[in-house]
Amino acid sequence: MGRRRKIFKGVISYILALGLSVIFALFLNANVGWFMLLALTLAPMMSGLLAYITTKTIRVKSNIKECVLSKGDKCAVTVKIINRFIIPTAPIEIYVLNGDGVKSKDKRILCSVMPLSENCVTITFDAKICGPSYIGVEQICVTDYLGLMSFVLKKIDYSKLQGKASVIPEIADVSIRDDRLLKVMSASMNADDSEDTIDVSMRTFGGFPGYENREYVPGDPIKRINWKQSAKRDKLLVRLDDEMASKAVTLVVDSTFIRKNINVHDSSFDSLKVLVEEDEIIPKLAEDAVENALGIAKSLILSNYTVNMFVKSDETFVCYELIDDKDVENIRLNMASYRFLEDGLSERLPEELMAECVGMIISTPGCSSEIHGYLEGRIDTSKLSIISATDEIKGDITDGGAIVRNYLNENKAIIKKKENIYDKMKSVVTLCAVPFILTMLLSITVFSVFDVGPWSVWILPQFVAAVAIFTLCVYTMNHKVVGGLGITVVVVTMLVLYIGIVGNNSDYKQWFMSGGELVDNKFTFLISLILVFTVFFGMVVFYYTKILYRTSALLLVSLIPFVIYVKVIKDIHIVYAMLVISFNVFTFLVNTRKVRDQGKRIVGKLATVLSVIFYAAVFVLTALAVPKSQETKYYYIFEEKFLGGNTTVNLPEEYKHENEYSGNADGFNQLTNRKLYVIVGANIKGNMYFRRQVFDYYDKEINRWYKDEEYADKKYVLQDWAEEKNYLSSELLIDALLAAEELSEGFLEKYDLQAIEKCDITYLKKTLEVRAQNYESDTYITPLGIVNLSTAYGNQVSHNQHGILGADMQFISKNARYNVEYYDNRFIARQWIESGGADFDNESALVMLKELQKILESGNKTLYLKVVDAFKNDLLYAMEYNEKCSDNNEQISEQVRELAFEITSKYEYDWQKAEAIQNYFHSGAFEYDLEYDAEDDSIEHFLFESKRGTCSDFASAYVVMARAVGLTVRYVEGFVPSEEVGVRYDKEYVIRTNSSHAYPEVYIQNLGFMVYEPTVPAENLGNEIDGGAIMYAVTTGFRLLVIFALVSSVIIIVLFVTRIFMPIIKEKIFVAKVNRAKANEGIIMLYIRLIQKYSLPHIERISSNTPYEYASLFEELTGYDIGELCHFVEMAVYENIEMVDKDKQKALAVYKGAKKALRVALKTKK
Amino acid sequence: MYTREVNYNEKVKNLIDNVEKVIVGKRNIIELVVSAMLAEGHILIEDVPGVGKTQLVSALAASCHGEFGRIQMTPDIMPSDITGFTMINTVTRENEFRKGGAFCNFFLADEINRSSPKSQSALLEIMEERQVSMDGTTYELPKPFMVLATQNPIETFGTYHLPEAQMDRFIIKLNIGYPTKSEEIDILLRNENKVGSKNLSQVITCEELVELFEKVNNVYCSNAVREYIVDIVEATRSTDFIKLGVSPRGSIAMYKMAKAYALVNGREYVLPDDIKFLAPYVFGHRIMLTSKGKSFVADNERAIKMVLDQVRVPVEEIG
Repeated sequence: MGRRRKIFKGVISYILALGLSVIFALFLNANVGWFMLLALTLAPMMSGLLAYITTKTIRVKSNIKECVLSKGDKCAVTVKIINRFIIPTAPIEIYVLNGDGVKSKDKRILCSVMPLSENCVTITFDAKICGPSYIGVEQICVTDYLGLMSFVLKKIDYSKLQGKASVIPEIADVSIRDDRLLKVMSASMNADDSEDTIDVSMRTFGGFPGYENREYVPGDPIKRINWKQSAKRDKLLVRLDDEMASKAVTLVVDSTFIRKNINVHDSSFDSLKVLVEEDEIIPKLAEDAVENALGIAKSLILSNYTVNMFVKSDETFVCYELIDDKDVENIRLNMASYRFLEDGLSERLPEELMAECVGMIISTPGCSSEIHGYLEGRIDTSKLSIISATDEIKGDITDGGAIVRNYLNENKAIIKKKENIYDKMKSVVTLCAVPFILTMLLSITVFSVFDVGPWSVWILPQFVAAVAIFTLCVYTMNHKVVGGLGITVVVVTMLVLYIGIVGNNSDYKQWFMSGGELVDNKFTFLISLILVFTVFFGMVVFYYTKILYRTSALLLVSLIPFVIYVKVIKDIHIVYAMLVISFNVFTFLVNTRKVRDQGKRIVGKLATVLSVIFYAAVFVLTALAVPKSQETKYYYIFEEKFLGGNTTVNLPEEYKHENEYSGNADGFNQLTNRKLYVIVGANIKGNMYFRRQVFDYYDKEINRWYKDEEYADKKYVLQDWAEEKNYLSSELLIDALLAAEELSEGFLEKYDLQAIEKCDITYLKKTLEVRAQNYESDTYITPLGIVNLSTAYGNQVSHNQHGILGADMQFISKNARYNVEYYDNRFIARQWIESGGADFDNESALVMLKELQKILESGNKTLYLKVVDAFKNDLLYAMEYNEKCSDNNEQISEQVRELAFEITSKYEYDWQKAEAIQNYFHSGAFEYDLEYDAEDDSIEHFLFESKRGTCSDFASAYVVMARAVGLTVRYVEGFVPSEEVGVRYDKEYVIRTNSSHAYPEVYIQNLGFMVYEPTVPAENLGNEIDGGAIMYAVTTGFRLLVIFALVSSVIIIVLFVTRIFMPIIKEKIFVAKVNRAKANEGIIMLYIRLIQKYSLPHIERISSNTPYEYASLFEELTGYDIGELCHFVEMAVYENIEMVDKDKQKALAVYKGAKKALRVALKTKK
Repeated sequence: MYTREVNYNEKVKNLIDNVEKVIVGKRNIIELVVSAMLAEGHILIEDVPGVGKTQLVSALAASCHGEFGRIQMTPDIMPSDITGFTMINTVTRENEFRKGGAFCNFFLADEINRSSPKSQSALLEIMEERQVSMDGTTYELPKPFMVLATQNPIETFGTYHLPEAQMDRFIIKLNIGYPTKSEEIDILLRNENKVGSKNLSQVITCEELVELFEKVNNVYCSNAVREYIVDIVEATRSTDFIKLGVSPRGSIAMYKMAKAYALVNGREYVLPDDIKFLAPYVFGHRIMLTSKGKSFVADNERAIKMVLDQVRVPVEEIG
């Protein structure tokens, strides 16, 4: 493919990529699109500049010179490119000049040169067809990295990079039974027939006369017929006497070969096309002419003829007299540089031939008729034989020969076809199919594992995109634009695939953007990340650094996903990162050294394997060392600045609305792991409850709770009620009580509330940040205990300026961040209770509040009055609520009642009873079991039979028991943060759909509804959170990671041990073995180890040297005399002498010295 | 530098020294010839005229108490000239066998390729059988019997190329080569002083030679070395630049030759070094090169050396 066409294609694909990124920017995702557009615009400028610099800074040298080759030989031409600049060169393309008969497989070779160094490119030419060819470098171009521009190096003297290679023809195996040959032989005999005056005595010594016959061919002299033999054999036979040996045959190799006479598409060349390419047919035919001529000459010589061979050299014909094999060999060498002329019919045949008129002409194909015409009328052509190169004269000794040949040819054709297909397959597969298939498999797996079926609608666009990638890959491969632009396009398309086209479906987009977070599988995300980046960037590297440093560069590039993963998804300790990077650098250095030392070996296998394993292991170890699921601050930066904002949680329809019945906690649990909130700041572990829905009545039939419609209306519709609740604050109540004590001394003493004075709850106030995710729901999930609420940018949005406890404000607006001050509900309760503030029953509390109200009225404390009013109303509401619910108490069985009374009989106050029931559950008899599937899901069964269940079982039982003993209590479903993340920075908690929880709220006098936690911790999951029913379970994937990490660390250790200690250990074992062996065996072992293990670079391992020779060689190279050892070996092996141990020890000493000497010698050689 | 001690057998040493009085600076060649003699083989010396082929042979013969016979092989030499013939004794009127030139201990067939194939094949029988069969009677040749043939590689006109079968019967074929400058000066001096093979004393008797044959037979050859010989021979058969490999007769020749050479060098055992040294001489004339071999390697001796480079020297086995 031409350079221009390549550039054209490059430009087209560049424009395509630009277009794609524009589309991406405009329609799909602005930030990424613009970013790519910028990158794509800057890229050609930069790479063009680099390419231009390269053209100015490289020098080219070559070792090419004239050479003579045999057919089948390989000829290596080395081109040395020297980079004299401090940056690596752009890709350099070396266009190979192929001759007619000497060809290289590569038409174009790519290379690049590291800064201030040089690179040797070896072009291997195969000598295929005889004759002279000019080979070397045709042209050197420098392309830019994207394949858009290409600069030809013009100042180079290309003639120095080209040379002539001549290929020696082989001598064709010619059958002497060929009619035309016989005719010529007969003709020459005929000419001499008249002079029958050869000395008889000479004939005696001349050879083996008389008994060699051949069949008669028309033209043979009658005189020569061996009548006796003919009569015997019943066919005419002609004597082949030694006389004929002295006869000469003229053989002319046609000097002209007119190419235009040959139509290579002609079907008559089909058999040739099996063997050679179409453009090699003409050289092949010319070769046939030369080889046939040599073959004929040789067979004539074998038949004791002398051959006068006419070959045109420059202007005139030269006649070679061929007498024996050596002459044929000589002329064979001469023919290596024989070149046919394209025209000049008049000078085509030598004058001598015209005179003698006897002989043979080897005509070039397509020219025999011309020669006939040319000779017609000038000479008598009857004695001439004209053999064309295409004629089948080669050794068909038997018919079987032809069959075998045909068979071989067919097979060759098949093999060739197979090879072609295989080559194509290989490159297509390696280039695109593998990553493509892997990606497809991966995404299909992801889709089928998580909530989307594999065959859902938008698989289709992915297929379309994938096919596009596939096509692009093939196209890229074909024109081999260093892979750069094509791969850029592929990567862009890949990103489009991930974020854009199918990203319109929010699930997939979410999945990608959240780093697999939302579909609960970071592992797959990690793999796909590595896949996308490593594979595609790896391919870029593969193309760019074809010659050097491939593996190292690949490893360095593979750091990209690592860094991304680490920076975005995880927060890695710097030590791990340093470890990975240093190892990469180490590998790089190792490989560079290898390259320098050995010239040929580019990558140390061990280094590669080691680094790959090490890399994987460090990666895994990192994954282990860092807590499992974090979203670091980088993640938010990444998400906000680059991925264009927050993500949307798409809740299923049934969870968007209020539910009539309870039991949604279970539903949420089964829902995939959607993220609802992220809470950053304080330690809220097990303390911050998110209320979603409150249920009032129990339905024993279905073991569910349902709502009082009236209460629900009141709660959500009345704004006044909400405002009143703003004053429902323990902090304010304490102030109010203290104020009342000031106004009317003895008030606190009367109600036994003196401890209130010491009660300080302000330190329990905490600040945190709540990040609400973008979910659609009309049920608001409200954190309890909010005091103060503002947006992340400082705007106050709350009405609760005074910090009021227990406000369950509907503060949530989707997709926003809030700074929140809150009181830890349960700690306040404890403080209050310990101060004796809750030692009331409902009636006494009402009395106390009324008196408080009166006192405050007298003191005209309006704010405190509002507070007391709020508490009073709350109490009244609770009493009313209790009354209402008492109708529902019929549902409670006697058994439960008895149990409840038994537990609470000792206690007087509500808070004591509430705690007692809670403690009953925590006494150890109960067990949390998410998986437990009870036959009977009634409360009785749970309490008395199974004693295991989920949070809803615990909460239901609690509420029922509490109601049985007269507490005001309600059943609540909501969330509790269970997943702790972000250890290194701030405390961070994630509320997910599967963080859902059910719990009871008990009305405690002068406090309000307080959360109690009957649910026991899930011990089997090792969760310490009180009631943190839902765990972020350890996944199988994670366990696999652990196993993988362990296995790879073992492998690494083993490898390192092998690398470093094994040689030493082996040496020790060996010496021990020697010591144990018999003297003879020991000596031989020492010698063999010396020649094999510590072989010098240019002594082969399997040595054809005798011990004596080895000793001399060894001394020559190292200056150390191992003669003694060698002499012992000779004695032991060849002389069959039983040596004694003393000799063995001597040999061992020599061996050790030799080892040292070798080491020194090898060092100094370097 | 590691050098092996050489304890020459005294008789052999005397013999070699004696020959060396005439032949200057060709100790290697003399050792080879003596080894071939001890291996009961026949030698073919091929070299350009005037380098001392005949001189060498006659010196060797002169150093031994043995009969020395010589025939200048020309085209008109008849087989009977070599083997002998029966004629009627005119006095006794009885058939009498007249012994040919071959009835001697050292038979020099000078310029062997000049004689006709008929005579050449007569010689062949003697070389192989060491006996002459004539008119139903078998005449044993004296012991030791050795044929030393010379031939001239150039001037091929009117010559009869020795067939491969016949070449195979010579245990070694060697080139003497030109002497060095100082050696040539020495030759001139000696020529002046008329130091010739005629002046040589006989240092070894035929009986002693036969004893030495026995000794050669008793030289120890380890399995490893035997294996090495066979490896080389096999390699010559499978290499693609050799058309005709070494025959089993070649291996036997090498085996004998190696033992004899070891004895000449005063050793009781054969070393692979011996094989390596001898291979071009013993195998060189037993192979034929392919056309590829001819263009690459050019001559047989080099082909053998290439083969040697590919064959590993066995050391592992003991005894």
